[in-house]
Amino acid sequence: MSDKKQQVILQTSDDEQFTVEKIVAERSAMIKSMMEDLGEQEGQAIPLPNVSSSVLTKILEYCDHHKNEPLPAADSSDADDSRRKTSEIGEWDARWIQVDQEMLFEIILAANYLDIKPLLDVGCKTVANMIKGKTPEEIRKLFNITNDFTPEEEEQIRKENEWAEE
Amino acid sequence: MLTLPDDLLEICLARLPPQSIIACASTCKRINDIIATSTVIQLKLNQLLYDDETAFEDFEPTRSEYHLGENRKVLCVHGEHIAVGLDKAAVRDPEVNREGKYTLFDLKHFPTSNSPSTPEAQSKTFKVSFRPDSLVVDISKDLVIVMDRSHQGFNHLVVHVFKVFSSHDQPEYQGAEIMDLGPCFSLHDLRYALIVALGPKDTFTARFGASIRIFCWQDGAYLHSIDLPVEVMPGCFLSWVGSDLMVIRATMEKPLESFDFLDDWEIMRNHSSSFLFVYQVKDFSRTSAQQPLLPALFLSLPAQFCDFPPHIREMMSPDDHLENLSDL
Repeated sequence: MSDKKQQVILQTSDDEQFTVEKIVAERSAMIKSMMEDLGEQEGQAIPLPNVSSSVLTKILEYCDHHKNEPLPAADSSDADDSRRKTSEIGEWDARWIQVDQEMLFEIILAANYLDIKPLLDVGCKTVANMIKGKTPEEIRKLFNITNDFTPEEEEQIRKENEWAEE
Repeated sequence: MLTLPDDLLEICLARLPPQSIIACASTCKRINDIIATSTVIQLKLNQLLYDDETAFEDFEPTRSEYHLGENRKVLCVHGEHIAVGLDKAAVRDPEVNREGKYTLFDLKHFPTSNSPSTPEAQSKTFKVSFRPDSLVVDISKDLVIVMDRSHQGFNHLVVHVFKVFSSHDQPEYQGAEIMDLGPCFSLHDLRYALIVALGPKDTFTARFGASIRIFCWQDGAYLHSIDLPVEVMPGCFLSWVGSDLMVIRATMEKPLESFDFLDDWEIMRNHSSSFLFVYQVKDFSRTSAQQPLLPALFLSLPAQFCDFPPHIREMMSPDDHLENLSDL
């Protein structure tokens, strides 16, 4: 694995460079596509201006753990359907994503930017699991959301949603 | 969480069960807007009411136009208010009063016995100073939309928007959009009379013959197109049932060759040439130039023959018939 051809350099927004195995980097459909575009230009770093070094470190951990799994198909909406419908997250993934909220949302943003669908899925499911079963007030408190409804608007929303309270 | 952009928030929210989506809708305006405008999330919420298997069990045809004679009909009923206006033929051949105005409709208020005001019917007449082509009234949305094709030429539509209720005797003018119909309809389509219905949210649906186009009435933006799989005769019916079903009644001239589901055209022609097409909003995204959208439900009227989608057909017993639809 020390063969340079099997490695790729990634450069983060804070100008840190990471040398990683191609098989790890290729978990990102975006990086994979950039590598194909760049060809075999040795030593050229792939810039990731939207990802910081701390977030990339965390994401590379995820990619390394899953590097031997088959990549999702380009259009995997049907194949992934059953997986997406459940809110279950794999045991390792669940432990790995036990991070603070700021890092969680950074990971989701980066997963979206890097086009790592299974990671985006894990991130969004984690957010969904945090919300499930909570009242609006509990959700506001959890995510520090300011209630910007007027009392009249709140009452209107409450009336509109009465049908679902059964 | 609000650091995420709308599209990622939508993905997170779409993974929630309906009750949690509703809880999130009450947290703040931004999340409420995302939930209200997301097709995926709205479909999920609809499934709390109707799952795919039972959606059509609650579908009962109802007639929403009540003709009162003398070219007048009930346009809309909501709460204590009724809008009574001219029927389609009369709207297209309107009478001008001495002030040079055209009558659109009468808004009648019938307070219930519990209302504090006097229980006498109150009425005011809405008029416009341009010649209307067609109009739609939705009292619950406080909205009147009047179409005008008289000034801008054959292929232009001026969409005038009014509020029903205002402090004045007349509807409050909200503005107008001039729409070029040329890119959306063919000259062949524009020979037909315009039929308009209010759709979900800020949309209205305009139909010329077999060509149906959905627009935003606020800015005239073109949103979606549906072409009936057949040539149709003038004089048809178009309506939205809730926010997810669009119902069209049409009388066919001839089927188009590209639609396999009309294999039994010969049988149908022998029995009836009037048909009901039901389209579901969730299917709209599947349409393309190569694959036009097929209706979710397709009935002949009177119903001596019908062609249900297979999953609906399986739910029906052989004795089921649809004669109760024949007076639509």
